[in-house]
Amino acid sequence: MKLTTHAIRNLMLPLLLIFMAWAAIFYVILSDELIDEVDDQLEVYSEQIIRRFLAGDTLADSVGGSNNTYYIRPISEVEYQHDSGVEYEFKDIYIESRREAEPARVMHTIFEGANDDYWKLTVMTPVYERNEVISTILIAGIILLVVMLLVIIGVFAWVFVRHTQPLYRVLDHLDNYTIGKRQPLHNDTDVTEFQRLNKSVDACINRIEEAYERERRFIGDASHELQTPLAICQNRIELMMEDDTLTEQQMIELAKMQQTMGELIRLNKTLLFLSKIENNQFIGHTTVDINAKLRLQMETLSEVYASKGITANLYEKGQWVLGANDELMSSLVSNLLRNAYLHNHEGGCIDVYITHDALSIANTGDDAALDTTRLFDRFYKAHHDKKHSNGLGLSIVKAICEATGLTVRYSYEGGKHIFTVGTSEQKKR
Amino acid sequence: MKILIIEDDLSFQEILRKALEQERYIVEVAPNYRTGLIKLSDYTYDCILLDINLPDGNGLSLLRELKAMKKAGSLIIISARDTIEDKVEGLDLGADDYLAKPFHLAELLSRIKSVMRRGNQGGDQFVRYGNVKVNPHTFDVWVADTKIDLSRKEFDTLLYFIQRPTRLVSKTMLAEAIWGDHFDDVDNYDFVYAQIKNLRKRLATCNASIEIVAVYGMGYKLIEN
Repeated sequence: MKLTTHAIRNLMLPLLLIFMAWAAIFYVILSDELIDEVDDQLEVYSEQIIRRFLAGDTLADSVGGSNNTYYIRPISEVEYQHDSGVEYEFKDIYIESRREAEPARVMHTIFEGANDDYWKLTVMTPVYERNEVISTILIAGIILLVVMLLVIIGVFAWVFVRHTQPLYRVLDHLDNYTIGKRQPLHNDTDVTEFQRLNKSVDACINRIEEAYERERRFIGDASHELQTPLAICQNRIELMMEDDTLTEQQMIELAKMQQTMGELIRLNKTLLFLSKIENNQFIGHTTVDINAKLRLQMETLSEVYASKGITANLYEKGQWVLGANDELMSSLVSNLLRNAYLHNHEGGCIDVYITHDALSIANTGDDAALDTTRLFDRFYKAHHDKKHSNGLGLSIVKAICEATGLTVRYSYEGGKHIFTVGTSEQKKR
Repeated sequence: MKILIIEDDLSFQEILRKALEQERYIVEVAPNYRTGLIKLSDYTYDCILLDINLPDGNGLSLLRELKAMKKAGSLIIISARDTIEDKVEGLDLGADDYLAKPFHLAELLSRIKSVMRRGNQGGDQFVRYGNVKVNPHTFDVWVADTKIDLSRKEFDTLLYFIQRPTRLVSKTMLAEAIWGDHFDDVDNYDFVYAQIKNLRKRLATCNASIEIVAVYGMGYKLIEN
């Protein structure tokens, strides 16, 4: 749930309760006030009637001009003594003029007559008009409160959205951040907290960048520094092998040592190569014909891997020519193809499709999809028994794609492992 | 033939020296820029092996100094850096070849021979061994006085061997040299064997006095019968 939605929801609930309480209190006070007024009127009315009654005047028609009604009845002394005096109550009474029962306010009072007699007076006044007033006021009040609530939420949402903009800019910045490719954070704000957030994010990215840079430089430097000792070691073995006095057994041992040295040297070279790609040290840019590279390398590799009996087919649906570094493109094509040969089984097949902006290589192999999260990691090997793989081929593919703005995707469809390399426009389609 | 090695790593320097002395070259060494410059201005060498990263200066400026002296002699850069840009820079400055560390000694020796041959203006452009001569530029191969035709890969293989006669060539080295890239992930070198077999047959039918022999468990060697 978005922060704005969350905040509005949390704001709405208490506001609604508060407004409801207000409405209730308002209603109680208003109706109390109105009843008080009615009671006051009833009191004045009853006093007039009592005065006239005691004076012996003829009493007005009980109906009078208004809807007020009254009646007087005699009561015993005992009753008089036990009565509590003035009493008010609500009661439905039948009103002649309206021909129906209506709610009314009723007042009972007692008084002593002129001849030691006792009377009880009951006066009534209908309150439907007042009820109507109350309900009108109440409805108006509720409408007002609802409008107020909506206005408050609207204003709040607007202010909130406006003021949380820097937060979303920071989030976007973090989302778009990729290690090694930092963009400056443009997020001007007067809010202290957001200024702090900007600073923290900046400092954090700086630390990540520094650590990444250090690691990158370390790999590069380490591989570079290893070159000379490796050369010395290899050449010493070679020099030793020139010695004719060695026995055949010793020669074979030396050859094995040389073999291992060779692997070590190639591994180191590959790491150095990777580190150079990541440092963007391949700057030469030419027009590269991927189709031609594919044809040439497929021919070579079919010769090299002839013993595996793999059928390789090239389907040229278009001519892919792009401006890039030739060495990198050769390495890209070669690594992808070698991957398809190496992780294939005997008698398997490789289908290579090329269009004007994408290359896709599908090969048979293991009967399960590879772990896409680790596939392009350095030294990742799906099988540890593949002793001839150094686990760097796909890392190189990934690094080259990143350095040249291409995309690489892996999928497993119909028992085939498919690697697709294409321009970023191709991916969008 | 006099060769000067300008290399700061003494262990590496020693190996290069030994390897070259075995080939009967006269070898001088300089461990740094200053000594290198003195030797270069005082003497003339047929070939100079120059390391670019020297403790007291850049090998490339030494190369500039050498070119300014207008002295004869070939120069091969040996460097731990192997980007195309580095190579182009070195070659543009007038180096005859560029060899990235680590390299095989056999590779170095054949490069030395090759640059010296090139430096030998108007001289013999052929690489010879036994009664076979190969022209690396025109791709011509002669056995005795008969010109023979070889396929592209056969020619590359023969050239690789004839530049390193009597030296052991491992299958990996050969695969890298002929098929390009690196093939440490290949688990079967039958394709190298097939190539060698064809070439052997060709050489035998042409009555060549040289032969590629297998060295058990290690690779191949070109020898003269």
